[in-house]
Amino acid sequence: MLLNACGSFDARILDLMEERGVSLEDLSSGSRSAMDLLGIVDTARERIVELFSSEWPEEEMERCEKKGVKVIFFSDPEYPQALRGINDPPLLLYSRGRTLPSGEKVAVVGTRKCTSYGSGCASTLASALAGAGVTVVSGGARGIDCAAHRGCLDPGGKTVAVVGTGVDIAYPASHASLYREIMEEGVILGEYPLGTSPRPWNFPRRNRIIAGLSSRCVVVEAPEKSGAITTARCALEAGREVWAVPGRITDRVCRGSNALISDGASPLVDIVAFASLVSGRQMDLFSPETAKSEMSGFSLTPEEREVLRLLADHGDMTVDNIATEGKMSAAAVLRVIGVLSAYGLVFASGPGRWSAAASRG
Amino acid sequence: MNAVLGVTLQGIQALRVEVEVEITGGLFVISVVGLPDASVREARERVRAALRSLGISVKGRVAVNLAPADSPKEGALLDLPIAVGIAHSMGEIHVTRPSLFMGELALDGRVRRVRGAVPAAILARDMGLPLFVPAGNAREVSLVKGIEAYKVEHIRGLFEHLRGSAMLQAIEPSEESVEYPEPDPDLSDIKGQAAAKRALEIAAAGHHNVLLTGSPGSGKTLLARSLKDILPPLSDDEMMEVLMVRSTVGLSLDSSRRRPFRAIHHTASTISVCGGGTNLRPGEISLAHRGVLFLDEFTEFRRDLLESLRQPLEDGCISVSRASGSVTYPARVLLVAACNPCQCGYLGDPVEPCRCSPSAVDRYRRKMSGPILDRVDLYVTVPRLTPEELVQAEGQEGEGSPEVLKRVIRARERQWERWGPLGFQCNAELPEKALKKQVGINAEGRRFLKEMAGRVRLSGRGISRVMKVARTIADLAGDVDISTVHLAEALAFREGGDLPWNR
Repeated sequence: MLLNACGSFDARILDLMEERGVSLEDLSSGSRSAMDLLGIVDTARERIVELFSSEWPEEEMERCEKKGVKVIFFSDPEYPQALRGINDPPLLLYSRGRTLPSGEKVAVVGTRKCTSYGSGCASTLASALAGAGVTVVSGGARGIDCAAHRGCLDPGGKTVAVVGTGVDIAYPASHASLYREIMEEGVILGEYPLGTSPRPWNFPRRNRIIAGLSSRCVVVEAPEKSGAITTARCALEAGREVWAVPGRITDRVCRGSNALISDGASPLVDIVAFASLVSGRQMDLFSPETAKSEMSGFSLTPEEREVLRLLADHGDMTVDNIATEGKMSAAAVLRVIGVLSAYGLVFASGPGRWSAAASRG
Repeated sequence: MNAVLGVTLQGIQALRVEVEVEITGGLFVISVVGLPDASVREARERVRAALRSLGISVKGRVAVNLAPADSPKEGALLDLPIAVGIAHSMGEIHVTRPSLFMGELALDGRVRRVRGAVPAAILARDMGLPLFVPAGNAREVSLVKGIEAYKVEHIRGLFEHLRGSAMLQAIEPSEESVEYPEPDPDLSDIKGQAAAKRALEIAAAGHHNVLLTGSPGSGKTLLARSLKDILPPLSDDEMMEVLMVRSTVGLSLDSSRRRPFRAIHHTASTISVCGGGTNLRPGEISLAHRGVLFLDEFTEFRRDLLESLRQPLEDGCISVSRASGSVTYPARVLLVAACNPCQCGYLGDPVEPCRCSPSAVDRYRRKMSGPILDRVDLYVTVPRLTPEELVQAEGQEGEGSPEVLKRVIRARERQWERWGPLGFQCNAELPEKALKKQVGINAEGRRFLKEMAGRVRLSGRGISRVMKVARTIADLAGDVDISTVHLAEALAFREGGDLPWNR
């Protein structure tokens, strides 16, 4: 069964085999009639025979053990139930980190080339979801994916990254530390054999897993042709709810996500409401001054509270804006920014610009 | 000692050259020995023609020896002493008192301007000798105090002076220009950018190197240029050092005490920046000595060029060794580097979209580290103001440069008092040991720093940077101990504090 993962089959082959009365032995012997029954072409047949005769599965299992990677087969009880429901579930999942968190999961996906608005939204949304006890699923890539993972991890939430490479590969390489953090609290999943290097055609395929694992799929920012749109399509096919964060209509990176809205996806206009909806819990987190100073023991000075309030009200501001609005000296503003950014309550949304991070600690 | 003395340049120092002449009978020939370079050897023709213009015709075998014989002599500035030496040994004039002569001769006997007059003047001052310089160099020589110097228009005037028939005009020391020049640009001319201005104030006060990151049109260059006017004016000694370098390369000199500002383009060659070349000239980094060295489009600079700037930034001087000798040029600069946040420049901009692929951003980011940025204490991000923000900033110019300068000078005085006995001048130079023991941080501040260092994952180097910057902020405020407020502000300028918009 493991062998099937080396070709590009999905779990439908199992049903098909049962239906047509083909056994594994038939496959491994390369019997032409069995192949024909399954509709397997000649080139694929050769590959199957070759793989069946090799020691590859044993070696791969050994490698997995060495690297602490768990392999979850389609037949295992641990195999996520949600995935069984989609059209083409993967035959197996490689998993690194903790076990797959149970409970509600939401996919947060979007373009790699996001704007600061997009990454801010993704991170805020993920934090809110994490605060509501919801697991955030994403693709471990740059941009929105990364913001979603980080946003979820910051308040200590659980997150799942479904990667399009072998689970032992950090791609992009700069995300190695992010992956380590994800593994501490959550899990990295993938269907490709260990050591699979990034190939462009592998990424869209893994999107069905992202969509399948989650009950809802939120597209934050995506141009018309992008992986996030594929994910949304997969989610629709699998009967999941699709949400999209409205973007500016003039931005290319928002075309796809805005088009989803006009095609009937639910617009995500209120993060708190969305988080409450998903978790079924009433949430009250978005009064930064109170929520934040209460939690995690940050005792903020009145100045710091004022700046935080300004940033929460206005969105992204330069030090000049803050100084004028808050009637403070630039040095005082910088002082506050220094502390707040260290606490993670504000972040640089662009060169010289600051925004309030709406995380919940 | 021979009475006729010339000078040659070694680095930015003038070296005394004795000119000895022997004339014997025989066919006419002038030979110059003592490691002359091509321009010194060619002096023969100029000297002969110039002397002829005075009616002195040189006959016989003329041997000119330039001592010390083992150091190379360069430049046309030896024309005049050779001419004087020949005339002296022919008995046309008598130089009784040892004197320094320098100048290039025209064929008709006029004396042309040369480079290196200030080092020569300083040599003359130290040796207590009179100095004869071309009239074109009179202004720069007048900046050196306590010397006896004469300006020479034409070799005839010099000879008359030496014969005692008519005196040359002595160079009067120029009046100190008390007025500090108008700041250009003044800080108050720059709209908004309060954070960057504050960073520059701290940089000026503690001599901290700065990296400015911001989109095109955000005003990075303007900010960098305004830095020179909030640096304390040059002291007498520093002024001399600056004059010596400028004079060595033959740049015009002004008597103001404004610190130099040199901007290097990223296509500059290593030699033009560090110094060198066939006749060993100081480079841009030495011209920026005691002032500001500005590297715009920092990420575009070649790696080997940046690599070669590391040592001078560390030591405050640069040694250039070539086949023709080895010299040390001063190079104590305040470095200001500026770069875009990404290749196209609009990463994180609220209006313009960024056109870079994620991997291009990664690549660009990787360039923003390395040997030079290790020496940067202040990481400043400069926002590109939107039109609305520009309008809003109208009428809120903030302080002008002179007010900021006053604070900077006071902060420097405090540092000087504290560190002077320990042998360094400003907070940026603090060695690790002094940082641990003598930086003066109160208990509350120490706790705060510990907590924050853990939170933002400061490296060891990062912590010492924050402490140095906080020390300067405390000095600006006039506080004895570093406390939480100073550290908090220093944290806002930490490395990597600007990064999250990239994720």
